Amino acid sequence: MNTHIRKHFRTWLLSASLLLILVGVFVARTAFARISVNTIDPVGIVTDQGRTIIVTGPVGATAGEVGDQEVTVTQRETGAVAKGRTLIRFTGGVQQWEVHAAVRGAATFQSGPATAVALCRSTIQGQATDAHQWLVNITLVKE
Amino acid sequence: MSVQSLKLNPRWLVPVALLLALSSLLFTQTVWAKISINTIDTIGIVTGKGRQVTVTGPVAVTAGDRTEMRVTVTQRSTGAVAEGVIFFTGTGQTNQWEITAVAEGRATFEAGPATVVGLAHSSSKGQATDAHQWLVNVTLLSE
Repeated sequence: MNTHIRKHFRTWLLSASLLLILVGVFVARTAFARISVNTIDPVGIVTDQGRTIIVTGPVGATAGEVGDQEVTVTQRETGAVAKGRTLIRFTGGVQQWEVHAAVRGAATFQSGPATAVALCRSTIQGQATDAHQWLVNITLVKE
Repeated sequence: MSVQSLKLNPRWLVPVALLLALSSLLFTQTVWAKISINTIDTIGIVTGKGRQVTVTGPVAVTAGDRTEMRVTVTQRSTGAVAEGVIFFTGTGQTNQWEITAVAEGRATFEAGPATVVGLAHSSSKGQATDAHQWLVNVTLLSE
């Protein structure tokens, strides 16, 4: 009788442990489902007579999340400002993004140093999971 | 013309050097007197049930330059994003600014770490003079 109870208890304990491990893995995955491996490539391309800047870079997030990424480029020498946006459907791996930022205002870009800031908001089923900004000093070169 | 006359008279040397130094100082000031001494204070205040964040900081802009200053606040733990903007005219001195950024979307802010990006865009007589971005990690406190 006792042996039977012990055997039953062991089976129950094993099942409970497995369930707890699975729940833990799921919780950890959800808790750490954030934007990562994010940067901006150090060289941007000036096109369209200084009215468009192409910036690229890597980013990663949990599979199934959607990233709404906005990039703002400024250049001190010219006073130019450009903004661009892209949507990223995350796969769980590191993905390369490309944004074509269009000039706001009359000032145009030229080759030389510039600053790019990326803002990525990730969501899953409409629920915000992360909002992250990063700044990189870049160099613009003409196409 | 003798070789003697080609040599600089030591009596002229000091005033000429002083004049050159003053001219270069003035020139440097004109070229570089744009947006400077810019940062963001490391404490922000959360109000309006997490829907508003007030951030402050110093900035100096060339006297007379019209400036649009925008801040974007993001918080990784909540996925919240807020934006605010002010307009002012540079005084040539360091001035303290205060912007209350309003949350976009449903996610709200809570006390804890956040990231703020400032973007200042200055112009004189309609001509862009500078466009500068900077990023500071801040701590948000509830009012």
